[in-house]
Amino acid sequence: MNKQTETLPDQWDAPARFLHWVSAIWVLGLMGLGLAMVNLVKASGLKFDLYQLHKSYGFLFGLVLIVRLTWKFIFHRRKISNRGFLHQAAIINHNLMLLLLLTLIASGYVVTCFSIIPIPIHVFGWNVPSLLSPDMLMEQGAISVHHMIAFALLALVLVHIGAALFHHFILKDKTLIRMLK
Amino acid sequence: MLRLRIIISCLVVGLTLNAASGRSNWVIDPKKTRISFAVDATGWPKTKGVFHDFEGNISVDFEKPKQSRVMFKVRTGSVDVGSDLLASLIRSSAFFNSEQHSEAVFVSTGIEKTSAKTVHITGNMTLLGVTHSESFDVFVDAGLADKGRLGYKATGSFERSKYGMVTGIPVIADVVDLEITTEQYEQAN
Repeated sequence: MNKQTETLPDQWDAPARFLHWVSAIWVLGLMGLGLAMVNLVKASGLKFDLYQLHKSYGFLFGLVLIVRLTWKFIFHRRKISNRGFLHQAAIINHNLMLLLLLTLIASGYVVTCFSIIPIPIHVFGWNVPSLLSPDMLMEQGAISVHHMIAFALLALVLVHIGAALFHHFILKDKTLIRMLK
Repeated sequence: MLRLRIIISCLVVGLTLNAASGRSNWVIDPKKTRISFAVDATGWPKTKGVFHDFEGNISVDFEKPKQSRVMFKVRTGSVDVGSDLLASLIRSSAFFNSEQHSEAVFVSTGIEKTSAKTVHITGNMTLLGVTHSESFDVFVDAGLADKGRLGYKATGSFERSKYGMVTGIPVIADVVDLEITTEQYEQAN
């Protein structure tokens, strides 16, 4: 067990809080958009627009995620003593969420690359280049992977939210407050 | 293409109503004309669109319908599918390539009466610089004949791959359905 203990601050630093909440809103927005564009919208034109929006903001989120991971692993490393099962579970859940976010963004990009319909991801007037050749079967596979990762991530997000509320209302500690103030 | 059907309709009405003999010029009323298409795709709702910029010339010979002529031009850049982004894609080189081939043209080569209210029209359709024979069925609504107008509904379909438009096949269907509804009136000589 790591004997190096560090008392957690009363609040996380502003960049960390900002990146956390921007990510939260962004990811939940993309998930809502994804569900709506796939399952709810029936008009071809609007559906197409929503897909392009999902692709553009998904790609942009990839950039946000890189900034966030850089902040987390380079400027924000801390060693905190192991405080038991919940602590380990939190670390695993956090790392899994980040891993799934990365693979979600990557699989979304792969879907557009494999598409046999040439519709590049459009970001601020720039077309993101495709690094893969169109392949219908691979596209279908990538779509399935993208969806599975999205639902797995959603499950972890729900665990994450549940844990934050558990800390706040049951354990009555500063875990949630740290990210709010 | 659709305009061709409109023309055919005129012929049908002429045949049906025993209109005056000789060649007549029928003008399309653009406000009453809708040239639309629909394309199916796997896992995607049917994409429906219209063209806003088109023109047509119709010369109908009621005594000798086979000598009647129909010509229609559609400016492919005027396509409207309810999304500027999707329209841009359809106008791009992946589909219409409107920059290099701005028009789709249909010129009739034969018109045949199939019933009292329907005709079958055949003609050459040029798309992406490629020409093939296509045919359409036209239903003629003679209800407006008293007002000197004829209503038409023309339907047909074609395989876009024949014209070199192969993008997205088979996810996006090869067959494109066309429908034209229009009203026409006889132009005074």
